[in-house]
Amino acid sequence: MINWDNFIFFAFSALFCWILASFFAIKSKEKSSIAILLHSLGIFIYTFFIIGFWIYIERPPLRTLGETRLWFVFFLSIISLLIYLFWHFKLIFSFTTVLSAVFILINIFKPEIHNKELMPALQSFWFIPHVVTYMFSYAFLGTSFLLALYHLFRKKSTLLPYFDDLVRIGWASFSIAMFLGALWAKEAWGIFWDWDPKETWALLTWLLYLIYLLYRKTYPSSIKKSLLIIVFAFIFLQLCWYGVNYLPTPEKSLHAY
Amino acid sequence: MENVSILFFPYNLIVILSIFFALFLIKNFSFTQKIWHQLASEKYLLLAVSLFFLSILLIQLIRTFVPDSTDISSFLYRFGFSRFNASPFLLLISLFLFIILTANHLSLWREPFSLQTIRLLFFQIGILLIISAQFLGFFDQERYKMTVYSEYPTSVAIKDEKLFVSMPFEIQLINSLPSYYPSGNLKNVEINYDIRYKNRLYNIKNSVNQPYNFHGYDLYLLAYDQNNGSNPLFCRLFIVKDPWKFIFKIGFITILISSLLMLIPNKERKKGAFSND
Repeated sequence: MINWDNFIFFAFSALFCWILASFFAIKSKEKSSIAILLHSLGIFIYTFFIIGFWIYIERPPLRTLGETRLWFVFFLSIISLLIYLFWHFKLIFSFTTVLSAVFILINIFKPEIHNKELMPALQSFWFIPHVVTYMFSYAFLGTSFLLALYHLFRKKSTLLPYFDDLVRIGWASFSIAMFLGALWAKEAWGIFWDWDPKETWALLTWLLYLIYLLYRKTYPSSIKKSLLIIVFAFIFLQLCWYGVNYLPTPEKSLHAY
Repeated sequence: MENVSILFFPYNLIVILSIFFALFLIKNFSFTQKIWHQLASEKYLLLAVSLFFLSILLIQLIRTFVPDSTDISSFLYRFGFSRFNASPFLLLISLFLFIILTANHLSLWREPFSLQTIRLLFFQIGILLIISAQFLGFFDQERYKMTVYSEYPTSVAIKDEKLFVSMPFEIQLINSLPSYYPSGNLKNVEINYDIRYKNRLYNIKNSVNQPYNFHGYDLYLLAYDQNNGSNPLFCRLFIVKDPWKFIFKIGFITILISSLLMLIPNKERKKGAFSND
């Protein structure tokens, strides 16, 4: 049985594959098949852990922050593979591997309780689509953040059309997750929207990415400011995801699990 | 905000229709064409969304960092700056966003249909419906909390956390069906109670995530007496009457459709590689 104690072995094996893939991708002038194979192997190992852990805990591993970080890394690795395959940006493996390593290390050094219990409020049809779609969108928006940072330092405009695609997909899935959450909230608590701190930070993040999309349309030549919006929006996303737990709140959050 | 009775039905509907009518007039008179183009422009939409964002951020920061006990907090509360549902300030910004969004939306119908236009149309309709339901429909919502006992039926509920009212029905708790994890923590629970309404008795089963609709009221299980197993002495219900919930739901579904359409790549995207140098 695969339990949380095994995470370190699976995570480091996957990370090792992703580091090697990054190396081969940078070295090769063309699309590197070895890099693709190694990166896919990393994804396979990581996915194997998620499935095994899901079976072991007899509930979807989506309850704790640590479990959501599992999914973030999973989607990040898939998105980086897609970007490499379709857009052939050879630094993408390195960027996403660094970010994945950060989240994997947080999971290793700050372990949480991963028991088999799921409180009644979370036993809902909406639970899996709501959280998984959020993590999917976070991974897309995280990738756009990495590329925005790269672009800000390198001052190259060739990447820009891709930001719109990444943010648009990330923002669209963020919208889906947020509104699925609202439908679930109506079913569980009787209200679609309660201005709970988590909900409010999610709305602020969503609005900031919407501002980016509108800003790009209104001022297409103002590249640096657009990229700065992506960077700020990602900071808001971190606040919404876990930062809100460290902020003082006047009342108990409905999202505290 | 609780006292802003001008926004109860049908006045909230009149506000919405007036905005539509005013924009229709601005759009169709030649001397107001310049104003119309300003209102419908993306620049104004960006401004309205940014103002909305900043106002929510401001209220959230006040809520987070200014403790309730301080003088400044009571001052901010008096002017409705620290609670979302009680903020005339936010209501005004939302109305501004509503006007700009409506103008932008109306102008969009003149553009040639493309995937981008269709998803924008869906998205804007969804947002307009949600703003209407959240900020104007809020005033028509009725929210009650009710403690139900097993010993005797009761019809007393607390409206909006402050006002004792008598509901048109009586509820009495019968029993519950809890299940537990091996650790002793609650896994799930089903509550069984009777409702007496117009001399008829209805037996209801209620659990978390499964509300029960009773004559326009949605009944939600909030909490129950866990110390007495399957024979609890009381349970707490949240009772909501929300006539705008269907507008909300249609708005959400419309946005979900537009979000799904957004996942389809733009045709005009040029295929190609990054510049790796």
